[in-house]
Amino acid sequence: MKASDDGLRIRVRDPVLRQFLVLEADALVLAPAIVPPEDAEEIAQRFKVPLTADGFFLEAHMKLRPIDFATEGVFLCGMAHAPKTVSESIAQAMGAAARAATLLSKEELELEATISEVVDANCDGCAYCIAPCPYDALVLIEYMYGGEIKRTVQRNPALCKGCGVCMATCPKQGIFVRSYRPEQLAAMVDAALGVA
Amino acid sequence: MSEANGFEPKIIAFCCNWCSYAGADLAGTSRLQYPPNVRIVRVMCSGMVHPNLIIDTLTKGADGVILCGCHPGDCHYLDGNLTAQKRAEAIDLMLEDFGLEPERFRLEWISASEGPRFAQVMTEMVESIKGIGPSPYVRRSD
Ligand code: SF4
Ligand code: SF4
Ligand code: FES
Repeated sequence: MKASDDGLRIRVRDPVLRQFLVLEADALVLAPAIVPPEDAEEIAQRFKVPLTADGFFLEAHMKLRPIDFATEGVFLCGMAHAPKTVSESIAQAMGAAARAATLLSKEELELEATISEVVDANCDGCAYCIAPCPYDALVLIEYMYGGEIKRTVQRNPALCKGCGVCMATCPKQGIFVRSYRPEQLAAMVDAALGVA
Repeated sequence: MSEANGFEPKIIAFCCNWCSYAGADLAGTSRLQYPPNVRIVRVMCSGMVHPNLIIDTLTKGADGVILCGCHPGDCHYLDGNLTAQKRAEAIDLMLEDFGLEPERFRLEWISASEGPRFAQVMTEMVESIKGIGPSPYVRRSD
């Protein structure tokens, strides 16, 4: 770069032409590199949302759900997502606000349908599944049945998120997650292996 | 197909919905290539997969099983993946009891942004299973 009385002369290499060009300009404006915020990782872990390898937030699907996270009720917009222009950020922010409004405008929210269910006939109340449950959704209960004290677990439908940790812990098939019953998983495996 | 030169293993990958399945999706949308021997079964969390399911899968036709979850700290259900990791030790012991090589089961953390890593892990798994050959439980008609 050379400054003279009639402006700037900038020598740059053009990667397409593979040649050096000399440009005459009045001003040289450099675009600084945009880096993700340092605390992005902490925020990501707190809200259970993923980051890209570069450290920006990652949407649920780049085409089908571009402002949602896979985690419900959390949306993204602007430079948290990736470097972008102000107008793009504003458009995305309006989209995110609209998505949030669809949740906030509801009087009641429906609970997740894919949660666990106890099979009283199989569960003997051994309580193995209680400690591993990440949401403390299970409690041990005792009840009378045919003059005998029976023990089983009870699942709190508002706390259970349907992760299935209980199902994979239980040695007696005493609990399962709806839509992911052991038979259903086995059937998926059979189909994938072509042995069904 | 003769097994000596044309062994094509069948591998089942259990991928958690929130990270690894999205990682597989990214591998797809990025048009990355990986061997077609891997078939994916989506689960909600790596912590949902019962050790019995892994062993059943290996004794009824799969040559290898790979369980994929979110990186530690990223599990959508707080720490389901750490529970899966604790179980992996028990699974290793069960493999021994069933006379299966330890290489036939793998636990891997693959995040939603790691499409290339997904393709790489699957390629490695297929190579490793090709190296040890078909599962002793598999009766092949081909
Ligand atoms: S569901 Fe299974 S692990 Fe839980 S208490 Fe019942 S038998 Fe035990
Ligand atoms: S599915 Fe998960 S959250 Fe629900 S009871 Fe089982 S371990 Fe707890
Ligand atoms: S949700 Fe991915 S491992 Fe638990």
